[in-house]
Amino acid sequence: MSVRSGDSWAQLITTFRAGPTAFLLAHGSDDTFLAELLQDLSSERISEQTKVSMLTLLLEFPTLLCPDPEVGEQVAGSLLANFAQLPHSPKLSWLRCHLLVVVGTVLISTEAFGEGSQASRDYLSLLLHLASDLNDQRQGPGDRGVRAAACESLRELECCYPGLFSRRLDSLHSMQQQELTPVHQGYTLLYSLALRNAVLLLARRGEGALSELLAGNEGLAWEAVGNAGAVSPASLDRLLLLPTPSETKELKSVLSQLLDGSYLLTPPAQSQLLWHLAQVVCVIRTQSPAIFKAQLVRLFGTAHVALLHASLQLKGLFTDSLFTAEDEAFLLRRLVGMAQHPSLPSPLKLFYLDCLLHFPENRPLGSGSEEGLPVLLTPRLASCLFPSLFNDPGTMLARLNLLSLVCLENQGPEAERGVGYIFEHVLALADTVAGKGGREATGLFFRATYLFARYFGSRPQLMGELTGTLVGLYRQRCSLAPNLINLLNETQLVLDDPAWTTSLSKALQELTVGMPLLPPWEQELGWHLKLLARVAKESGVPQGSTLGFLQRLVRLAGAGQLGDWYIGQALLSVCRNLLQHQPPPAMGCQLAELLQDVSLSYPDVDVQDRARFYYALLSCLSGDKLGAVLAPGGRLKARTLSSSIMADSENFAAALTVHPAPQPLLLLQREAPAKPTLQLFCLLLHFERSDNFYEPVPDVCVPCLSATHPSPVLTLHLQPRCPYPTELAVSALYTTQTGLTYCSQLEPLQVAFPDIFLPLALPVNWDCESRRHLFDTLWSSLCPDGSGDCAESLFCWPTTQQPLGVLVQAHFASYLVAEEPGTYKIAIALPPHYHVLLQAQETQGAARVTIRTDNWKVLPHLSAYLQKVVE
Amino acid sequence: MRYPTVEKRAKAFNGASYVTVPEDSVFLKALLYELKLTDPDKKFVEYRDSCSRINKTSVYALPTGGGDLWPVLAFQKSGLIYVCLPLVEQSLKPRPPLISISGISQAFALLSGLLVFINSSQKNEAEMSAKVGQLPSLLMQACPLGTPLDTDLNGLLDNIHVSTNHMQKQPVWRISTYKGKPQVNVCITEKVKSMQYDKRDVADMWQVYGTVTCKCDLEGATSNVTVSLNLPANGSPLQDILVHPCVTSLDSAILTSCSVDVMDDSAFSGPYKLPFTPPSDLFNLCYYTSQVPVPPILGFYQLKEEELQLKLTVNLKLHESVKNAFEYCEARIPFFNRGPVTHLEYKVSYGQLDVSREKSLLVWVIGQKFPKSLEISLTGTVTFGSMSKEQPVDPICSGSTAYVKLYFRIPDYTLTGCYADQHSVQVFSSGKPKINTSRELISSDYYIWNSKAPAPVVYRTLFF
Repeated sequence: MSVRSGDSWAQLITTFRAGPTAFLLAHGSDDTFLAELLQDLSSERISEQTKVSMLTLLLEFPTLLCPDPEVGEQVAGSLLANFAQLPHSPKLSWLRCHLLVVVGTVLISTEAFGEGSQASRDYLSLLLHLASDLNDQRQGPGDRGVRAAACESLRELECCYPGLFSRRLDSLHSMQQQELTPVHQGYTLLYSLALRNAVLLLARRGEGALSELLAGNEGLAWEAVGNAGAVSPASLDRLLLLPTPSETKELKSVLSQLLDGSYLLTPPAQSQLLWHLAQVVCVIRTQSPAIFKAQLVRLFGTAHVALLHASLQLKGLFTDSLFTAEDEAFLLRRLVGMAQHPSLPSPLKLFYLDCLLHFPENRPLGSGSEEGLPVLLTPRLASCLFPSLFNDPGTMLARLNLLSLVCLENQGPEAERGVGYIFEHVLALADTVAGKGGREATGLFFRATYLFARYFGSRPQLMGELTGTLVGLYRQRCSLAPNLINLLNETQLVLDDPAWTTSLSKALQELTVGMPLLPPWEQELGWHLKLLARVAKESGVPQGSTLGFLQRLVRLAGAGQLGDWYIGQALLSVCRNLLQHQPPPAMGCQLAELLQDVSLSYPDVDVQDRARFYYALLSCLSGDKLGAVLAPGGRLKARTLSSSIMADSENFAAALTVHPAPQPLLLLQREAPAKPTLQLFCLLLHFERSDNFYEPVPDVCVPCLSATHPSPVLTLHLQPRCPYPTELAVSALYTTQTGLTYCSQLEPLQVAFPDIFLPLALPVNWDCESRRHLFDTLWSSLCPDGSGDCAESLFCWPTTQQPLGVLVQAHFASYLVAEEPGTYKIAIALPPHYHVLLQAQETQGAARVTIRTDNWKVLPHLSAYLQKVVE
Repeated sequence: MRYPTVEKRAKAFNGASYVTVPEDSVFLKALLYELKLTDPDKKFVEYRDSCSRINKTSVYALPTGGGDLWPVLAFQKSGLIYVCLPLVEQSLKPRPPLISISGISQAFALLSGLLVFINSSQKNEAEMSAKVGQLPSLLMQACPLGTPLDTDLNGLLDNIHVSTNHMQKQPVWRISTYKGKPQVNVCITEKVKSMQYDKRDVADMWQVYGTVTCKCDLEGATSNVTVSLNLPANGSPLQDILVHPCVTSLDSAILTSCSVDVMDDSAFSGPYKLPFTPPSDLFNLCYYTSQVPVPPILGFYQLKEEELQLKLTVNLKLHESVKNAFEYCEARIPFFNRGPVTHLEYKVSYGQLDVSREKSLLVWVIGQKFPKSLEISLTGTVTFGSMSKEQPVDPICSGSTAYVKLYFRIPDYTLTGCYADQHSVQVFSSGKPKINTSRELISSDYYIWNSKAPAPVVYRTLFF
């Protein structure tokens, strides 16, 4: 292997990142690429920059490149050797940082890490050695980055294997205390994490002393490798430790020292530290949470999300043992203030709004995991969170949701006024839709309407007004039909009493059936029918006016004023829903009349057929059966009365489309039944010739193919024009149980040369003599005369392996006409009207086959076949 | 960036229900789908437009082959999407509330840091791609193994480890490489928002919010600075104060005033003392809001549709307490959902009126000063041609709903009266630094609505 250039690596890395799995598949076996990568990492001709990018592949995709722990171990070993060779130059410190981080990542993610792994042991002692260079004393400040990376790698190991350093807490603590350069953050995070893990594991074990833990200065706890996932904040409330007063005092001094220095860390590191220490204090019940008190004012005032979140988490963990009622009220007010602070970005404000709905109260009433309002969040406090038209959609809906909850859970004139304002806001959104509002404004309005209906659906007056607004919008813009249908569906799902859904349906029906049917109606009519189809599902809405409207349409169609397929289908969808959802006695007669009219007078034949079918269903089936037959997903759905006709859905077009099948499901086999895995219907096999040697093959239809029945045997009639072998391409068109139609290409069907052999049609009672006579006559008639298509040829079989008699019996038994000792006379008819005659004679060690035929063009096929017979 | 060790931990917490992070292309597809950025041409697609699909936060669940990937934090800014998938250190079934997930705020912090870095002083594509090129190395420093160590990426840019004798621990962010004359800049920028309706039943709204930015060029790691923000006797107290994490301690009195409370007279009114150890870069020392008694410019706007013309009247009055020295001041009068302006007749008492090049906007340039009377007016009639595609549309401004928007900046002035001067900046460091302080008031979303038509209400109070 030669070393690649930097450019070539840059290109490889880009391709790798674009699709790692595909890259490795295309690159052949995984280990060649890996080997190349490792080799070039130690090459001097490659720049540090390139090596760093090469390492990021191992950093981000270690399990793809190292499929098992053994490879992981080897790679880690190789990288460690690489690290050892690099000099301590500041110029190389970036590369060395990467190497450290990558080795850890590879060992951990390939699960190679453990006491038995040499690389793991080497890696850990390297990290501990690097970390022990406190205050740059050995290597100077140029190596500080490497030291920080070592600390971070140690932290990640402790994080993945909680308790790994639990017997070295004292030495970690002393490093943490002594380090003064900015790397102190790394030592602090490492120590606080190790402390947290050790304390939680101690509490879980239930034995051992805290003082011993804190003073631990021994080796590594390799058994922690099995602890992955063992320490979770979710289990905190089940753990407790009750150490002695002196142990508590010792711990307290450790905690205070860490907390006092916490402001020196970056905000995300501070929040981690606080969270670790909070968990420690939570478990050690003898330690008062008041130790955090001094940090609170600073946390309350912060603009940084991680720090504010830390204070909310402290609140959740310690409730009134750290936060007085006054503190709680204050924190809540701050949070409300931040949820609308004009200086903060809106995703952050949304997060704070969400925090308000899960605010950790001192005396919670709800369960905590559901959205709920804190008791202290009064309408007065929340009024600054009223949504406005200038909010971005997310903010507007989040605020609408929160304010609705506030008004719902509170009583009195303030809450009432609030509901009024919320309603006004929803109406203002409706105005934007009526104006030039695009998709976004429309979506926003319907979402706001949905929220409003969810919370205030039981207020008839407001909901009535809302109905009026929606009807008004539809009058202006019929293209809102899908939004309205969606709103009806969704509110029906969430409202305890879907009375509003019914009344909105009724109002929309009223509007739609009263629409004048004037051109250009085509487009709007489609929407109207969609909407009426949805209304037809409402059992509480009388459908007489819908039927009247449909009858008007049918009359227009009869008069030739409308009648395209699409409108016809939409019309029948309404009928279908009426059939399914409205009990027949109510409207059976009228509907039957309508369907009959359609089947007789609608200009489109397909529509007529479907109407006739519905008519048959209506007149033959009882109401229950009708419902069952038409229910989407019913058992009957996959019958040949395919779902594309039965169910009206958004998938209608899909049902009418032929989809390419993802993989061929079928295999044509010669009389060797194979079971299909699925149920298929209306299977149509279509054959395509590859040449003109045969007559076209007609399609074959199989009504049903099922796993529970044996595969049907199909007989294909092939009519050769010329007696040659051929290949037929086969495609299958079928409908699956889901009602979709697929097209799939099957394996081609091979027609080999011997497939077209036929024996001569000899009378059964002929004796040997007559047969020989016939053969000889034929033989001489096929004697080549130089002008016709007759030809003679010779072929030799070695008979060393099988005697001639056995060969003939195996392959030509049905074509054998006459037999003399040592000589076999074989006649084969080739459709449509050709012949091949063979005389095979045993000579020394070989069989001589003399061939005569009336079509010399078959000779190549024949000799290929004869060749194959002996192979 | 992917963090396989973090993925491994996530797997340990979730066992069989763990959802693998898919390859980038699959992830991106799922993300665009979830952010409703697919199928832009289709009017209604159920998965995207259904009214029950409401995102109340920027946290999403991305459908992937193996289940829903949650919690994916994503926000969009200037055509870019910033995404992060934080670790949840507990089982995801049932989904815990966001507030209980430590990783969420870490993800917010990291993405906000990224956003600030990408958007700071970036002007063209070349600079942008240079910034994107720096990202891997910055992320390697900020978050080498998936745990954010720092989120101020700009601060990491010139992270050189300086050889100094450390006598005591220093703040991690204080990596001073500055050599030269010490100086401290403090700038107070106040913005004022307003919605004026000139209607009896709708209350006008105005709101002031400020940002104090600082840049401290000081040598050595041991510099501490205290900035005191002062208010004059008649100043408006600062509320909702949020401070930068480098502020080392806070007096709780500073935080007590909160805009969501009903004002109480005993409110703390400064000085607001903020001691801090400065980062080397420019940073926002604090944010605040305030409630001032009157808006700086009070206006009314009347617009009437008469046959094919619009008759308009605009009056503006500068409050006498406001400093009458603008850097710029103009009133923009846009017309939406109409054709281009074809004819304009007008009278202004002051300043000058222009029609924009697109013929859909009148710009009334008021200039540096209001006249002595502090009141100015504009009357005129406008005629429009037929609507065309180039003309702007707006869903709110339909019918006669219309607004005038004011743009102005007053240097060396704040509405609250808040100021910082030479004496209010104390620096504890070797050498006497030069101290520059400045302040400004800038308009932001300053609307005056047509009082003759409905207008969107942005502020509701439940109390009268």
